[in-house]
Amino acid sequence: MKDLLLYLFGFVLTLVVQIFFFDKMVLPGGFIISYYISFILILPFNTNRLLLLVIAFIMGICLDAMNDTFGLHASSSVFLAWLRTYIYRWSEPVIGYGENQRPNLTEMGWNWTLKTYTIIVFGFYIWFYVLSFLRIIGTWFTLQKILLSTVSTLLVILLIQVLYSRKMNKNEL
Amino acid sequence: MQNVLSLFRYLRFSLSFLVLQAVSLYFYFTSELYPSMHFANSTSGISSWIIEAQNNYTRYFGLVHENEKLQKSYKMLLEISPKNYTRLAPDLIKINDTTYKQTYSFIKGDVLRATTHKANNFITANIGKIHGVQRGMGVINQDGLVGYVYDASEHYCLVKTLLSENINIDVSLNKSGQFGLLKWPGMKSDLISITGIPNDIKVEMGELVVTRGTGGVFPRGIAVGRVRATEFSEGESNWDLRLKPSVNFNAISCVFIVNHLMKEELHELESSVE
Repeated sequence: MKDLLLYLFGFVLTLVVQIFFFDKMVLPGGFIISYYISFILILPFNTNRLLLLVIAFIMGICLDAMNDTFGLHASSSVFLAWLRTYIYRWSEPVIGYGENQRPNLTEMGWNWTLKTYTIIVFGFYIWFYVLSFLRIIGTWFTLQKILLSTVSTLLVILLIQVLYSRKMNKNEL
Repeated sequence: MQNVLSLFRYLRFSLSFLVLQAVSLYFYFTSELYPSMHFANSTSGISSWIIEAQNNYTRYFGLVHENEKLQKSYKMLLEISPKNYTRLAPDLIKINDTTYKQTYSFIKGDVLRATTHKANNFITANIGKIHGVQRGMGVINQDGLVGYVYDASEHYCLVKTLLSENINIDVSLNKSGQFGLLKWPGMKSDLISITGIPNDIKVEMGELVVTRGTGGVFPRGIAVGRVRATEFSEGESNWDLRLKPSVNFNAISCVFIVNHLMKEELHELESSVE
């Protein structure tokens, strides 16, 4: 029950940060930082897969309503949730994930986090930009936006995890 | 039966992924065709409330600039007002002019939110159906052409700006009157393009491009932008003109919705041909 409330609060907080901060930023090159995907990334390993899809869908609709993108964010974040289940399964250690382990930097370490997050975020932006921009500006500019967005979003997500984790093991850094 | 059920259980993750994708992609690709039945957008419900609350704080930042613009247009109006003209011939009397009738009226609105870096860029304004805004009306501001109304709710409207795919507005060169079609090549908020102007016509740098005024959506002669570059398009006999838009979409704060007062009459006449 406590966990549920905590995650609900996290959901709302992530949305607020995305809408009032990251969506307001105008970045050179016109790329975007979709920080909200970090909420879907840090849900526990044993989250029901169907629930994951539904959460991602609702999150996407909320952003679509604010950004006038009519389903673009919903589609991309559902794809992200789908990709997440397979990538997390693929990168599972031989002994399996621990009972209380969470997919974040503090508990999984740099190696695992960088590997999985990069693949998932990259996949998300490919889906997002191919849907929205490819018809208009061609392959080169789309690729440029995908790469810029992936790198900056990863930086932001990891930075926030480093800054706000409660018990960071110093030896790990 | 047991097998079918177990197959569904096995496939339920992929199936629900496909269903959710189908729903969102359906809305995404049909938003252009059926805007009245789409997803929630920024004119509806809680999102319009959030955007309006935000705007209440941010609108003051542009106030100085807005004031200067207002004073400039007031000065211009003063100069053309009859009070400033000295009567030269005392025997002339001004009579009420009946050869002109007002064709367009304008509805003023404040911009609550505007984007410039997406694939389709919209403006949310605080005027809606109760102010007389309808889907498809033209939108201008004091600097020039902005776009057209894409959707309107009771108190808000969503304006599709020039920085959108398939914007296709009829425009013409101010000097020669040659007309072409306005498009947005994507990428930059200070670059639009015009196709369909034959390349045997001489186009000067910095030449003004204005609206053509067809279809009764925009008045004739609203500034669109100035020519910045001329390029030959490959294998065609047309110019590919690059323009700097007159409106700065990054600093837009007020818009005027164009209401054509004789719209029905015009449409009735035009539809009788088809």
